[in-house]
Amino acid sequence: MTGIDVSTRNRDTLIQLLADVLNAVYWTIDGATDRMEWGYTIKKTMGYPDDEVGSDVDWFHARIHPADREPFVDTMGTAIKSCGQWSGEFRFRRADGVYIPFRCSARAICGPDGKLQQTIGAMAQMTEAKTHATSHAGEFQALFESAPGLYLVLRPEDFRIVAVSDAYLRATMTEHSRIIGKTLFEVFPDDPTDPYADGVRNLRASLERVRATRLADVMAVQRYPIPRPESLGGGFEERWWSPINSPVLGNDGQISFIIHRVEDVTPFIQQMQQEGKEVEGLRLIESRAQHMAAEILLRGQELQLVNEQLRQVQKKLQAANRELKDFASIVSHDLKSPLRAVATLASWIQTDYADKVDEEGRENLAEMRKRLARMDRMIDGILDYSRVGRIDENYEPVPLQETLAEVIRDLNPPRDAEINIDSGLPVISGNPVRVRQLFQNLIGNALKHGRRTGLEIRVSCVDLGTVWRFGVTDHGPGIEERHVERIFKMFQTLAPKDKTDSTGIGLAIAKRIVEQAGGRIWVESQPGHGSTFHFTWPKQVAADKELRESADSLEVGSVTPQS
Amino acid sequence: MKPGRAILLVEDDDIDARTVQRGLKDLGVANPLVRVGNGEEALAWLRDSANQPPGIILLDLNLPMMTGLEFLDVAKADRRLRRIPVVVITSSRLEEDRLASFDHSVAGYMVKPADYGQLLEVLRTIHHYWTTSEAP
Repeated sequence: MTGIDVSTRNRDTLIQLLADVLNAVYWTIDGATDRMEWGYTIKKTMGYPDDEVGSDVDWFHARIHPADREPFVDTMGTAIKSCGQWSGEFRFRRADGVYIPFRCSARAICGPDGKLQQTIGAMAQMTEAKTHATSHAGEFQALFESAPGLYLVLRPEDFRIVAVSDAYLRATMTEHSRIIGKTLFEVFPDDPTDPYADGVRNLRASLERVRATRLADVMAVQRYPIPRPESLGGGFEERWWSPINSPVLGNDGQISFIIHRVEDVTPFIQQMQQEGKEVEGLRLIESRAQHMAAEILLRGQELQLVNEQLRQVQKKLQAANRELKDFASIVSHDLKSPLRAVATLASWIQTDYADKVDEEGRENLAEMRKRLARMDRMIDGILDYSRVGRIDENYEPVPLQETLAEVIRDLNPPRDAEINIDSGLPVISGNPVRVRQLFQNLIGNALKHGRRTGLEIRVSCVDLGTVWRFGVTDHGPGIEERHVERIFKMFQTLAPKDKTDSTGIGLAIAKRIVEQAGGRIWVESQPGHGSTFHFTWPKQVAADKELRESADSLEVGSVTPQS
Repeated sequence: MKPGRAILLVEDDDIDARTVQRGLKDLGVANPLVRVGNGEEALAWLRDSANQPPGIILLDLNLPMMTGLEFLDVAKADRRLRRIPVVVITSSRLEEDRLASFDHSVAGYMVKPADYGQLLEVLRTIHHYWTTSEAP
């Protein structure tokens, strides 16, 4: 009021004008009598006619809202008694019964003796907005803070926290006093030990989007570890959040606040991660299973192809076998007949015309008969060989001790020949005729190629677990390394044809017999010191026989591809 | 061979037949030799009542018209013929021929040797067997 010169009388006018323009009411209470006087605006503002306005304090007190009355009376009474000033709010009843919120200031006027002379008060009606804020602020704050959601209210200009719900405080292990007034990022910094932390960056980006667009921004689920209070061990605690930032717009359309609402989805994410691991594992298994199915399908198709090829090969083999058999009978019946006839006729000429043929003619006839005999043996050899190739073998136990004794007796070795046979030769499984033939050929070979005098032959046997290994050793001239392969082929001999009785079929047949049984034959030789023919003979030839029988149907692991 | 009884040779090959003929002669066997060319002719001769039953039949297997084994099928089913000893003389060394022949109750199975000297040995053996054996 300084600078305005208003006389005392005019001052009253000014007060009335002010009261009028502000919808205000003013009053005085006499310190001695409690007599109360109201300014004239009580009629205009509150609707009370002059005759209804009481002239004592009780009338005043009676029109204060019962809920506000006691605090008002108490606090103002205390202030006035100490010659102080009071200000506060209360609802005052209008003449129509409606309580109107008023803001009120009152001052005690005391004499120099400290005695209360008068109390002067002024009351101004509060605006609608102000009414709510003031009268319900506490309730709304309480409501907000006890809401079950996790809320932060931020100032849009610097993202400082202006309000927080208790649930948020609990979830983030913090306290009201420690976060109000601070920026969100001060309170929840990134974990400095986590190189992948991007919570602050993401949150700031979202808040800035809200500020720019004035639209709510839903953030993706964030991994945003929070600092653990020292009392709980410090450090950071892994948390996952689902945040939404929503603007609160004022009447002017500008953002007054940003509500940062989050949900703690940590247990959900952890569950997901756990399930994710399981799902990942399942996916891996599924993918492998698919690979395997594809592989099986492929293998099945390959098997079908191979089966088909085997069937073709088997057909060819059967045809070849038939041809071989036919060939064998052709050779035995038809080829040998003319041969025999020639031989017989040559023989008759030799005897019948002995006196008519000269020495050279007799020699020629003798040579002719030798060649015919040789041809006969070769035909027999081919027949033997072809017969070994046939698959209708009968396998039975062959006691080798006896078989070898018979073989040697049949071979009729020279008297001075020494044939040593390992004692305790096993009983093997095989076709007795073939086994006999095998040893006959090998021992016969040794007799044939051994030393002319002091012949020494050894037949040995070693148990190698699944197979027997036999050896027939002679001390003949031996075989040079370069001939080793040759000797097992048909009609191959190392001696000139007309200087030996051998047709060169014996070892070829031996090889065939051994290989038919699933064994292997080879020779170890030192030229000048002799040779050892080794061969292996499986102990389980029966299984081989089954295999051969099953080869007739030739169903090799049938796999039906899934369609 | 048993005196008087004929020897029936069933053989289509002339040289083979002559070989047997000559062999028997060389061995001094005096029995008459009757030669026929196949199984049918053999059966016809055997069933001809004008002919005395032979003491032995020397049978080739690989024959035209009726093979040796087919002849055996019939002969061994015939009560009047089945006791006549049959010796197979063949060039076949096949196991199945040998087994089939003995299944038809042949008295012997000889493989024709290429060499005439060996053939003589075969015939000598047959002769010994037949003269020693107490045939019906």
